[in-house]
Amino acid sequence: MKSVILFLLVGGLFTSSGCYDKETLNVPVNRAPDVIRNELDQYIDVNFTQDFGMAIRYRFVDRYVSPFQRVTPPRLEVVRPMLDFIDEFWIDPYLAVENGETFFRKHVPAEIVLLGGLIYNEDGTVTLGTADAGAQITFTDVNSVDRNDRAWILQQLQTVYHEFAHIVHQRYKLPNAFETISPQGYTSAGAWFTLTGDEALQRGFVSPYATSSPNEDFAETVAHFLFEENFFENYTIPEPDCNTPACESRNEGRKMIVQKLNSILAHYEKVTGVSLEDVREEVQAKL
Amino acid sequence: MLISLLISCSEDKVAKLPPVEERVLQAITSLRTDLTAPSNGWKLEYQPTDESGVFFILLDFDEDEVRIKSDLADNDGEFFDHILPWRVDNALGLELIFETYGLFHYLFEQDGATFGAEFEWTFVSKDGEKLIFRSISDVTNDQTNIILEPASPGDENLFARDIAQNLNEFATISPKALETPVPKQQIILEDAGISVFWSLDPAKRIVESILAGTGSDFDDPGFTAVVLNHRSGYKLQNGRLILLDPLEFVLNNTLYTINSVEFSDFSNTGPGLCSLSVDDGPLYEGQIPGLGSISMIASLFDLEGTAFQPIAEFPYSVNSFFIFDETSTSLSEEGKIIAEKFPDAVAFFFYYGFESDTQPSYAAGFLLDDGNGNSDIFLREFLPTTTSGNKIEVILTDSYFHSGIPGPEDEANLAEITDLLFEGGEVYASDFPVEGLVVFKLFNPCNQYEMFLVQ
Repeated sequence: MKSVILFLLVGGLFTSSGCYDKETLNVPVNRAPDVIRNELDQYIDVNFTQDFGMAIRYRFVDRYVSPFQRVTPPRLEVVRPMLDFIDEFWIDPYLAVENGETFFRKHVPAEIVLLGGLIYNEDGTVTLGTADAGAQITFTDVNSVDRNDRAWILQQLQTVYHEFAHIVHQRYKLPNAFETISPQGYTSAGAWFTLTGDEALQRGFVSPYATSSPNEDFAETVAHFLFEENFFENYTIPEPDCNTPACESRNEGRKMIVQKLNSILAHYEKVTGVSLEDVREEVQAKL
Repeated sequence: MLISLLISCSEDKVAKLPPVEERVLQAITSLRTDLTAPSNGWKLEYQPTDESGVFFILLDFDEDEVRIKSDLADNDGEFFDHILPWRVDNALGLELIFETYGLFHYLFEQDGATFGAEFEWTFVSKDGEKLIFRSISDVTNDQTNIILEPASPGDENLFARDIAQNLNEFATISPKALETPVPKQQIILEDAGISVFWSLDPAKRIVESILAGTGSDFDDPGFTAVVLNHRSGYKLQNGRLILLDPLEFVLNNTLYTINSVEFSDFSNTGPGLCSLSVDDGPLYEGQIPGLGSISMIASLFDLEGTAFQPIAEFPYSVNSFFIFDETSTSLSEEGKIIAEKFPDAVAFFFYYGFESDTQPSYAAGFLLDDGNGNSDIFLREFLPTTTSGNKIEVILTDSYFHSGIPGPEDEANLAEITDLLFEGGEVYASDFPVEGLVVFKLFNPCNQYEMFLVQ
C-alpha cells in the first residue's frame, strides 16, 4: 500500500512540475488601464506621467483599494477638472517656492488614484482619502468636483496635504522629540472619533484624528497649517479674557500646537529646504 | 498510471496548447468580438437584487466605449443615455468592467454602497446568441447573473422614461435628513372608492404598500383601513408600472388585486401637502386593470409615525444639532438661525401633553446652557392638539415660558425660530429607526424643515 501511495505522489509531482517549460508565472494580464486611448490619456501622459513620473488612475481597477472597501470610479468628464485642481492647489504652490520644485519632483508619489465617491468600509465607516507608503495618494469624492464649493475644496486639500506630509516623516522621520510634546493626548487605537474638535484642541491637537498617533498628528498639523485660513486664530493665538477651565485648557493646548508647528517648520527647512510658511502663503492666495 | 501521466504530457499535446499569454489574449479578443458584434447592441433586464425591481437597459459596445441607455430618471435623466469606456480584463478571470462612473455605479452606490448592485462582471458562458455574466462587485455573496440578448431596432420604444421622470417628481417632497428620501403616494381608486398608501423607491424600484382604506381622506371619521405590509420590486414598461409580486388585500370583505398601474396624464395640479399652498402637487392619473380609474397624489403618511402621541410624563427632546433645513443642514451650524439666535442651545424640547404644575403642556423651545453650569428652559406655547393619523397641528401662541431671566431679544428670537419650524401649522411624524431608542422625525411640508425627537 505504501508503495502505491509513493507512486501516486511521484506521479503527482511529475505532473505538477508542468508540461509547458516555456511558460512563466509572470503572465502579463490586461494592461488596458495604462494604455493611451483618448485625449485625456494623452494629456495625463504629457503633463503628469512624463513631467513628474506620476501615473493618474481614473479607470477602475480592483487593486486600488482593499477587497473590503467599496468604491466607484469618477465620471469621465470630471477627471480633467480634477487634474486642473490638483495642478493648481497641490503642485503649483510647491513649484512656486524656493527648493519646492526639487522637493516635489523628488517626493512625488508614483500613482494618483481618483475615485468618484467615498470609500465605503466594511464596518460602516467611510474613508475620505488614503496614501500608501508614499507611493499612492487616493482622492475620493471626485464626482463632486466644484471650484465654488469651499467645503469640497478644503476636504480635498486636507487629504492631499495630509498624505503628502506623510511622505516627509516616512523619508526623514519625525522632528526630534515631536512625540513628546503632547504625549498624554494620544488616543488608543480607533478611539479618536469619540473626541470633539474642542477636546482635541485642549489636548494640543488640531483635530481629533491627529490624536491617533504622532505620524497622524504631524500630517494633520501640516495639512491644517497649509489649507486653513484661520489656522493661527483657531490653534495658536490664545483666547483673551480666559476665565473658565475649558478656555484655559484650550489655551494650554494651543501652546503645544505652537511647539509642534515650530518643530515641523524647522524640520521641513532642514530636511527638504522648503519653507512651509511660503507654501501656505501660495495656497492661501489661491483660496 | 505513470504511463498514463507521461502520455498526458506528450509533445503532441504541448504543441497543440498555446502559451497562457496567447490564450488570455484570445479569450479577451473573443469576448470583445462577441460584445461588439450585434448591430443593434444588447438588451438587458437588470434586477440588482432579488428584492429590488428591474431596470430595462440597452448597451451598444464599440472598440473603446459603450453607449448605455436606460429608464432610470435619477440625476435629471443623466443615465437615460450615456457613454463610458469599458474593457475586458483578465485580472480576476475574464471580466467585463465599466471603467468610469455611470448607471451601474450609481446603483452600486445606493445605501452607502450596500444596496447590492454591481459594475464588474465575470463572463460565464455563451448560450446561443446570449451572453451570460455573473457579478463580482457584490457586497455579499449574493451574486447576480445578467443575460445580454441581442437588441432589436424597436427595443428603444419599450422604455417608459416619462413615467420614471414623473414618479421622480414625487421625490421632491419627503424627509431626507440623514436618510435617503423615499417618496410616498396615495393612490385613490375612484371607482372602487378606496385608497392605497404606498412608498415608492425609484432608485431601487421597490414599492412598499403600507395601508389601504375606505374613501380618500385619512381624517374622515368613517375611514376604515387594513395594514398591507407588502413589498415588491417593479418595472416600468409600455406605459405601465408592473409589480413583480402582485398586491392582494381584503377591505370590507372585498378582495382587491393590483398587478400593475397604467399611467396616462401627469400634472402639477394635485393637492399640495403644505396647508399654505395652492394645488400644485404632483398628480398622476391612470387606471389599474380590473379596478378602474386612479389618481395618484403625494402623501406623507407613515404608519409608524402614528405612534407619535402626547406623553404626560416627559417632553420629547433632542440635541439641538438635529434640526435641519431644506438642504439637510443643521440649524445649529455656524451662520444658521439657532447658532445665531441661541448659541447656548444644547437641546430642543417639544412638550406634547406634558403634565406639570409649573411648565406648559404644549410648547416648543430650547434648553440653554452657558457652559458654566447655568441652564434655562425657554419655550413658546402652542394650542393643545392631538395626532391625526401622523399629522400634528401646531398653532403657536404668544405665550412664553422661561425658567430663568429672559434676555431682551429672547422672545423675538424664539418666535422667529418657531415660526420657521412650524410654518404652515402642520407637521408630519415618521419614525427613525435607532437601536435602543424611540426616535421620530417631524417634517414640515411647507419649508421641508425637519426635527428629530427622542421619546
